[in-house]
Amino acid sequence: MSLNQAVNIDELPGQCERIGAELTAAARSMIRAAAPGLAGSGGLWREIPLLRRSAVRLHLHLGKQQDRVVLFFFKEKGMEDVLLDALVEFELRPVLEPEPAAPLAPGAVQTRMRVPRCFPLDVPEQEAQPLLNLLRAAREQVLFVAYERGVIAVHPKSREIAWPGSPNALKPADPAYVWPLLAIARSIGRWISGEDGPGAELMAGPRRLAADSDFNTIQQRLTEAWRRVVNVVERRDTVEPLMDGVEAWAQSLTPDYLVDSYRTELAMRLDGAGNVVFADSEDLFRLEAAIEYREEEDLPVARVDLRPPDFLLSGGVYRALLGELAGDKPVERISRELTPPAGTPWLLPPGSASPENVRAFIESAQGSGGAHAALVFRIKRGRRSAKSPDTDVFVLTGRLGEVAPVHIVLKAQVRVGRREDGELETEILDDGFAVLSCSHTPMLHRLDEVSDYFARLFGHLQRWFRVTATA
Amino acid sequence: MPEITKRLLDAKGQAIESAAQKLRQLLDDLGGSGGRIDDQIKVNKADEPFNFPGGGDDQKIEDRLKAITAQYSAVSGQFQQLNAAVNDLFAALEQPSPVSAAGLAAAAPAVVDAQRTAKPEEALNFAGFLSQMGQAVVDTQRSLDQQSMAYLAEAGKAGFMVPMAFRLPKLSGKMLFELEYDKEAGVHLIFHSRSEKEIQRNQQSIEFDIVSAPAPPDATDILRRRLSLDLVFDAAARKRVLDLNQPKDSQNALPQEALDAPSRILILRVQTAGQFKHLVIYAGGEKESNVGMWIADGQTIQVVYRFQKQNSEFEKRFREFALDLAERQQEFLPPPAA
Repeated sequence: MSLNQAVNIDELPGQCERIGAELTAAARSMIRAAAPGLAGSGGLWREIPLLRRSAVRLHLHLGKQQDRVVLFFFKEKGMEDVLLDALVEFELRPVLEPEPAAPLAPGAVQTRMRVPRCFPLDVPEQEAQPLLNLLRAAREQVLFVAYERGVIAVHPKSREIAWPGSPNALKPADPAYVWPLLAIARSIGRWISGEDGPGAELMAGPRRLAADSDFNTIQQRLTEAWRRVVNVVERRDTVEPLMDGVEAWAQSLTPDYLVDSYRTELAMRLDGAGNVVFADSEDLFRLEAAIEYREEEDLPVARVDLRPPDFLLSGGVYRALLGELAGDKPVERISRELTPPAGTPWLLPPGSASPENVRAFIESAQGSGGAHAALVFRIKRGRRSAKSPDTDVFVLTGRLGEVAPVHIVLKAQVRVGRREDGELETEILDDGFAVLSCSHTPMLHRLDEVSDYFARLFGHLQRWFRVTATA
Repeated sequence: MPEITKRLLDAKGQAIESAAQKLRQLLDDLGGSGGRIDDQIKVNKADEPFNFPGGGDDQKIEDRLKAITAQYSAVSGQFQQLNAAVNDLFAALEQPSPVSAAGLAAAAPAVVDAQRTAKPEEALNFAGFLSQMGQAVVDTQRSLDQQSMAYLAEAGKAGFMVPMAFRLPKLSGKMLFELEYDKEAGVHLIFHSRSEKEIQRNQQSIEFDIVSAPAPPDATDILRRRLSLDLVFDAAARKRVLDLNQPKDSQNALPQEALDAPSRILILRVQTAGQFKHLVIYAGGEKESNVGMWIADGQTIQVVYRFQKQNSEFEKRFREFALDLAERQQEFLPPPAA
């Protein structure tokens, strides 16, 4: 099967509608199938089978063919130009006495985007202006990041950071650069762990995107799919004809169903015009969006939440990577890098970075989870076809010997995959492993790659907020 | 009490085996092949498909239930055939139409043949599959009911045993399927196949819970009323039906050999949606395919299944049934008028 046989995204609403219709038909079909048994002598109980819950999960990929975006249900092995993964999921639940509801009309769904709380868009002038002055930038050129003690301003283009109390804007080469970077990492941790809570809500205004942009097309088709599933499952725009005979008997016993928990997840790469970025030479940064569809006081709403795709705070891969990091080789490497050459002034007491202490540090850095646990994020994605490794950064805060808290930033090349039996397989390679920064060894300061990554991430977030929403 | 536990286990095991045996019998009757279907359908067996009250303490029971789930999966294709045949039977009784499905008797063989020749991806759909699962819940519960009744009888004799019954309250499953694109047919559903394919398709899924819900108190009575069938013995009533017969050259006419031996004609009164209709069945004595069915609605009579049209195992059994019933009704029919 080749891409030219792929399913166009236009077919998605029809497919989802068909699945919804089939499931409701199945509910009655099951009851109908029980009729012969009930009509017979039967057993101890007079029962009918009831479809109590069904949860649908559709996995989709996005490709592009001759300048045309197609969303398809297939993936060829090794296909490199699959640039969007999408998940559509919803549940059907029986409802005893459904309230009459009007059909969802085309175009009636209102899209709202939630900006994470850690990216405040309404920083007061007296707080924002000193930071903007340090960066010599206008408000629209920077991204504000809220942290525990205030607001940091990041200039994605210059990679400079300004934060309260600092006399100058910090450049990546400054040893003090690590402090706002750590604060930003914690803010992102709160964001992806959900501890941050919802932030400002913007009405999505794709006015700055071309009407036929990929983003608009994808979003419209996903929304249309929800609309049609709701209408067909909840029979909002159709009246089922009265049946006769056994069919009528089954019809009278079949409950009504409603669509619950309808959501989609997207992982995509878009350019400033809202089009999918395909070629490797282009900017390949990815963003994830989760869209929840629901009716709020009779108003159909699609609520978009953005997420950075490459951050880990929990899960199997996260635990496996930290487990690998606590292995002998990485621990010895960290211990060696944190042990000063003779005569070098060092803030850590002698012996603090022994392998035992380093291993205990990694364990303590995981804490009890949440936003303050060790943060792992991918700053460079390896090419799957070439089996090249990813480059991941570990941000760890814990107790090293008698010193606490100690903050350490590490970089490692990692491979993550699954064995044939489905078991997770992770590996930290010797090559490229390095301690980039340690709060108690200021001369260890190699944060260029990390600052590059954050600059790109913030540049994309800034652009996303600008192009997909109006205040 | 270890004796009771073992007995319980044995009873459940017997029920499970009984259900499996029944399915196999049905499968054999239809001439299907379990292995072939098993290759086409994969049901996720790791999702605790059955929940049994108290079953968590008894690994053996769970294992057996998982085994029966696998067996149900293996024969689910045959279940669909049976359901389709039964559904078509009801459809023929309720909404007779010579055009649809060529009638009652042809329905089952037609479905079977379609299943045999169709590609696996064309053979199943959500409604059909879930319908089979619902039927499996009902059938398994009926098997357990039999064991419950046996257990209760034994408990009554023993005196010290706590009266109890076995319940299968829920079936949870996961259906894996794919969407396949065909240039001519468009997009359609296929179920997950074990066969290796060069193309990796995205696997889609539907998880479902099916529970046994009590039927409303009057549901069974209503159903029975809808399905009531009575053999008609009254001479006047039989005459009224047979007088509707059409001219010999009509495609809806009863064959002459049936009219020559009216006492061998079966007439069943069918109540549907408050109205009475009549099914007319006749089986001849020579060829195995000599069997036919007509429906009379008070105004006209129409053929449902063509006499001597096909020669199948189903026809043979249908004919034997009709011949047997015709023999038995003789003693109830009034003597022919002189």
